[in-house]
Amino acid sequence: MLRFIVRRLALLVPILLGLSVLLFAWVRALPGGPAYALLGERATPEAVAAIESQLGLDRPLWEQYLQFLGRAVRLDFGASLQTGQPVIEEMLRRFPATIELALAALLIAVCVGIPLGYLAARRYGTWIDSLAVTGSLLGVTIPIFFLAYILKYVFAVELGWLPTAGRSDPRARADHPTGFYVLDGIITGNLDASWDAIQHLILPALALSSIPLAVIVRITRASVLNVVNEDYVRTAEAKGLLPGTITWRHVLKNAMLPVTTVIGLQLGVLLAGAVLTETVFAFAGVGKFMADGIVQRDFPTIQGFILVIAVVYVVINMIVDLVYGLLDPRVRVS
Amino acid sequence: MSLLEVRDLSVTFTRSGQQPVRAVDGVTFDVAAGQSVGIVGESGSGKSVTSLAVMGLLPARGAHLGGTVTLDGNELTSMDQRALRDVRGRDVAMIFQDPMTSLNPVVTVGRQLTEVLTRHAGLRRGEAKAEAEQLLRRVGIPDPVRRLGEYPHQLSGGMRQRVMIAIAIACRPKLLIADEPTTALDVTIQAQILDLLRNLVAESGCGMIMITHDLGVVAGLCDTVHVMYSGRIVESAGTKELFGRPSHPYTDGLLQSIPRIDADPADLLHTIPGSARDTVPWDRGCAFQPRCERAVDECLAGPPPVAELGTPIVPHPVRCVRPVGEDVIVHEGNVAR
Amino acid sequence: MSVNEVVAGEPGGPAPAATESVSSRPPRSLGREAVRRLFRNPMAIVGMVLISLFVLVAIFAPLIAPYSPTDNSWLDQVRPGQYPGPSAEHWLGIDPLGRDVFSRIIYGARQSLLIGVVSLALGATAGIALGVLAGAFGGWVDTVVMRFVDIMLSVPGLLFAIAVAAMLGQSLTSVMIAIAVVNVPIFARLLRGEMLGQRGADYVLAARSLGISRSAIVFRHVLPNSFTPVLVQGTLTLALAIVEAAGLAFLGLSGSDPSAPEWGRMLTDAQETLTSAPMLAVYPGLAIVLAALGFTLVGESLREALDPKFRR
Repeated sequence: MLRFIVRRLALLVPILLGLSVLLFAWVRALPGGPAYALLGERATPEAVAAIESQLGLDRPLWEQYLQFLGRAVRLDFGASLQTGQPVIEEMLRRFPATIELALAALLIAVCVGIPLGYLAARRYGTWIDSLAVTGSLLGVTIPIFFLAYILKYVFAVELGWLPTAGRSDPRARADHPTGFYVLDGIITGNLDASWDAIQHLILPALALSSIPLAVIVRITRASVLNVVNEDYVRTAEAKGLLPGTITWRHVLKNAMLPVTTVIGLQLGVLLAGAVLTETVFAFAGVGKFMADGIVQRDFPTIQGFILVIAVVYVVINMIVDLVYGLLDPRVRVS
Repeated sequence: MSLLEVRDLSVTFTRSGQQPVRAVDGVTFDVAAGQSVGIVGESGSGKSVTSLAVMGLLPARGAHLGGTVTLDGNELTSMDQRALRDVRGRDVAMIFQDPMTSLNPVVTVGRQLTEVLTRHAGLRRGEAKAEAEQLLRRVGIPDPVRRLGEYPHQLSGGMRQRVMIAIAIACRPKLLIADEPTTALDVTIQAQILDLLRNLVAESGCGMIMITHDLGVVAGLCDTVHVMYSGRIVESAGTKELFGRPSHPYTDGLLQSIPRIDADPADLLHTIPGSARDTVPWDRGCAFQPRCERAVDECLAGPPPVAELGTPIVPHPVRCVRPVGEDVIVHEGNVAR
Repeated sequence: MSVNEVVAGEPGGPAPAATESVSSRPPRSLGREAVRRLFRNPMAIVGMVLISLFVLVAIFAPLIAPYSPTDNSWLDQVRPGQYPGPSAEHWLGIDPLGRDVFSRIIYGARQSLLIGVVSLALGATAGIALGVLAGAFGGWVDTVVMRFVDIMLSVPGLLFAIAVAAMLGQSLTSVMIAIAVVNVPIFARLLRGEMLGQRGADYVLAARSLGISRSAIVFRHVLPNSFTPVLVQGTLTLALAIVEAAGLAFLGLSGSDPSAPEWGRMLTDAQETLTSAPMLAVYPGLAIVLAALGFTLVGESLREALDPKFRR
């Protein structure tokens, strides 16, 4: 197992190095060059000259790259053009919000998607199946922010059931030791604050969950359809096992293998989708900060965000692989 | 009364927008306790469908069942799924062709064995585990304790089939159905598995149905053989009788196409011309007629009659107008001699 | 890795171990049987109708649209917070800048189709070339190309597009390039898989034993045989290109002309007036969904028709 982990970690290195080269090239290719990208378009020539010598833009390219790499490893992406604060600090402050949102969306996607996909497969060819398939096709074709609009308009504006924006009621007082608002409420014994945070989470999480939900429904359905035709399920039936045992031990245990992989991959999609969803709901996470950064051409923020998300994404994938190895004895050994 | 009585079994598959297909038609045979019965035929002859019908494992949708299957006095064809689940694995057990795909890849060998025991024999986990160890030993798996914790892919093909057999015999079933149990195995392993099956039947006194396309498998193992072609039994006889006096041209062709070690290498191997797809519906004539070297006009004059070439005590019925070795044309009138 | 590939039914990521075991073999050839099944599938029919409608509207936009999409002659009818709804003259009403919404939706189809087709053509061509390169040469070429593909897939698709579009600046070209770049690794991987799968195929071995050169095998045999999986992926990619373009527009990354009729931008602008005129969001949103749904339905039914597992 340990060797497996080490090998997977080793595979990360070339990917991350390659990514850093791409990002380095990207910064170099930005309009006006890296100095303008760092300082903004209204930078004075003196400031540009200063930062260029500070960045060592007069030195050879490989040296500049090494310097860039050194800063990236220390998570130093410079100051955000929006706030003037270091990008990494701005992001760390907002990360809990985004993680909370992404996890809530994933929870919805998993809890609804797996049973729905299973049901569709067992009722293959019936109207339940058609509904699940059509719904999941719709889920991947509907722009997240359009869905967010609809949800916001119907449930927040028209019906008034849920708040329209933000992470919490601005009038309420609550302490936030961790930044995860739902958790904070529980820790500080302020369950009202938790409930308030959950209410603020529901609509953005629903909007964000559309793609993972659709994908999980489809993969679960396809996977269950594959597995129920396997010989070992027939064996299980020939043994006279109870339907529950067959479903859990023989069908789902196998059918969940590809689903696990996909769930992990969806986390990356969720983090990217947060850029759109958080903006619609004015949800103060990294996604919103990134979206604002794009509009204001805040390149240090964009650069930092992409690198951090890529690292998170790659690490999640590695964890998924490890989990897969735990679930599938065939991978574990080889 | 026999252990298993199959009477006029028929299976029809229906698919929306397509002609219904009759996969098994009017199949009747018995299995007595302690007896091994072979069902021989090519793929598509309906032999596997017959075994699945006996197990009650045909899909609920699309498969239409006729006739009766009676095991030890209980009619299985009229049972509901709940009752059938109690019978399967306890009274009838099945061994499938490919042990690689028939065992669940993500569940340990031990769990796949003990789950039958806890389900049917009412054993608790610990008891079932001890019993499972005994079972693995009985089917000739060394170091059973270690094997119980392993997964199917860690076992060799022969081992896996032994595990399948252990699962099948776990609850001491009255009837064992083996569907091509050696086809997916190496030749050297095949004989071992067949030996094991023969011994298990002899020890336990259960009945066995051996489904195979290989007459060689039947020769050393079965007491009685039924040859199926295109969904019907075309010839039934004791094994010795069948090998000594194959009477249906199809059986004859099968026997002649087995390579013989003492044959002249210059001789061509006998083959049956055509394929199983060249067929005639049974109600219009003999399904084997298009491939038959002995075909005459009478073969297509309606469903072929059954000629009884044996005696009431040692029957040898053949569904043929012109059986091998007989010069007469069989009519409805002169069937029995 | 982006959504695109997951939808394509080939789950997997930078993790080769997990990928190999779950990916299903792509379909081989578009036989008559497959076409027959395709036309019997109501999903495919609906999809084809949607696509035809979309393409026809895009081509004949000037004939269908009653007004110019940029004509703002009805500005005098607009009051803040009050935008005239559907009427006989303006089927879908007037937008806050006094333009005919119906005409803008009609012309918007052109933009969407253009973005979709161009980005697909660019991305697929580059991806196929990379995939063939990797598959045909193997060895270190394969390693380098696939590492590169892994790196590209290590950033979620939309983010990658954002980065590229932000780098290239505001223009229609940069949007198309950004979306095309996202498609490159997907097609590269698809083609490489095809090449590897077919390398051992009997007909390729036969061709090689006859002394036919490697490039001839690739161009005359492997590529034509990869046509159907590429077609399936291409149809699905078109759908996602339309949705991705809308996402980019929402972040301010779209064509340089703000008055150009573009569904994504119309949808984005409608956010301002969401409470007073929600229908201004619904029209372009629906247009995007229907167009994307058309391609998705056809792509999915095509795959299902070609997949022997789904034969009914």
